[in-house]
Amino acid sequence: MNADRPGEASFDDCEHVLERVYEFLDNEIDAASSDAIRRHLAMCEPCLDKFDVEEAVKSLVHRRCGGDVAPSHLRTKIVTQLTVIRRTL
Amino acid sequence: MPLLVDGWAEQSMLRTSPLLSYVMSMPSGSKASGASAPNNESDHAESTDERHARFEKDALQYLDQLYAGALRMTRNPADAEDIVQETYAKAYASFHQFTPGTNLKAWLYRILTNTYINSYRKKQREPQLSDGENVEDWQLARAESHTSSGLKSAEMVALENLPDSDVKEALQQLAPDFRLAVYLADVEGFSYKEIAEIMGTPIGTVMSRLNRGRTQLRNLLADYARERGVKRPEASRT
Repeated sequence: MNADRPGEASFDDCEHVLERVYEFLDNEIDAASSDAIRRHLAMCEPCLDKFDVEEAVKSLVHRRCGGDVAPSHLRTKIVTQLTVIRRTL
Repeated sequence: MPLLVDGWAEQSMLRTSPLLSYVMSMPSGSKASGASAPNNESDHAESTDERHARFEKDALQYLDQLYAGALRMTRNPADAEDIVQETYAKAYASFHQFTPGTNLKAWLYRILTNTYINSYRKKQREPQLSDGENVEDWQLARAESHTSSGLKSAEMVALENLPDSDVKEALQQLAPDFRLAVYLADVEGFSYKEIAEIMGTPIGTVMSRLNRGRTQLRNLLADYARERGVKRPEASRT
């Protein structure tokens, strides 16, 4: 593990890595920190396991919780409503 | 913009129209003021027809997504339809305030979220569920998550095999603020900044909601996975 990168947050200890695991997972972290976390995960199995779980849950929610299709009568209602509002504009 | 909101509200198909108060409270200064507003049609390069067409083309394409989001918020189809319909009415009436080229889906989601929160507060008359949240809380939640992920690797397989209904059910059990943050991040893929704008909160609050929501969700899913594992002996064989 490379511990001596100046100006880079230390991701040597698991606590720091896990603290930012969601930001890492969500792509909300700068490239340098992201690389450092990736290096840590490559060498630390307990952290990798935890990351895998978080990633699996995120992916599960992504695949299973969206995708509902609006009933066709709702679209009709909205389009009609817009026409009604428009007449008053 | 002369929206003639009063006249519209009377004709509207909405049962009770909070549109007036909503438009009046729009943050960007361009408030509708009913019949007293001067007609400034000439200020627009775009005609009403053109704007109508643009709205139908650009905004209606998100109908399914907004409906799915509304369904997660309200947890029932009738209420979801109501808030989506109201969202489109509000969005249409204030479409001139939307800056072309910015994120229309996020803008619509913000209106949807406000609409939901207003209807939710009216119905529930209870304090926001996450009012007590603070930094210490979510740091605590994180510390807990460090020691126990709630899922062992064997259970990851069971997790993948959970039916959609279980995953949705688990998400539904989260407090509204947590549920919405998780939904916006994981299903819609909004950035923290966009979620902050949609929910009207600082980014730190978004992160806190995501942390706590995901921690709870992971534990709920672990429970479901274990239950399913017990029910299906073949799944527990290694």
